[in-house]
Amino acid sequence: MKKRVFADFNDLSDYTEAGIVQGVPLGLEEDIPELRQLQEHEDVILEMPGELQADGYVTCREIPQGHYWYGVVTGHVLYADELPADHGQAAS
Amino acid sequence: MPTPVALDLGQLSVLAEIIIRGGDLHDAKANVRQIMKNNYRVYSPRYGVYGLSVLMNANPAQPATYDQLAQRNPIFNKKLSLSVVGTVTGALRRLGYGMMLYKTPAQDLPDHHTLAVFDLSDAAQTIHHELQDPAVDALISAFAPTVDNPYPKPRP
Repeated sequence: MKKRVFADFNDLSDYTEAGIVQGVPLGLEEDIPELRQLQEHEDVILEMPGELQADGYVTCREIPQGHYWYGVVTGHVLYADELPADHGQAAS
Repeated sequence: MPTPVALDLGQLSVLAEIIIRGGDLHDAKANVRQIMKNNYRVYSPRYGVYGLSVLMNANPAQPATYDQLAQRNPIFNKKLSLSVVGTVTGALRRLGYGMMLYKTPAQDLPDHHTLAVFDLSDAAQTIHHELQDPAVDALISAFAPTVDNPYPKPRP
């Protein structure tokens, strides 16, 4: 089962400086310990819990502040009212 | 890394400048508080700031309606929560918080801003890196009404 990763779609954009197309910044591992469980290019479900979710993968960049993660949207965007009643809950 | 541009709130028409937060902040089914707290702690490598992602007109010299802001900044969220600068600052101030707004545009989000809070009692105005519960409450109360997003981003 894919991990569910919190992603705020208010930030969905291209981030060309990081080579990201249609991605969401997830944050620094140093600030958000849950991100340390992720693996490079791992397929995940990016979600705003209770509102919407999308299929995607995660990717890490090394920045001066530490390990920084992005979620990249690949498709299958669903709103909460389109999800089956028994869909999983986010681990992060 | 560019220096973040903090808006001089004294130069804004605080009762006219609309702030949008994508999503329904009053949706009992969504984990709104956690969504806001999680978003706030996402550091921006481009601008070097922490804070809540919001949309606000990047060019106050040319007023924009929420409809225009939604059209220029397509996001998936079906709902938009609306406020104005003065309402948000007032709600935070009543609980002892000050507010900074940073211009943090992104490729697809030209009006993207980052809303950060600090303690009013702190002369240095040190920006919080996490959103405290009272600040969350203030923001939720300030963002009303909620409207349908007139231009939701097309789904891939």
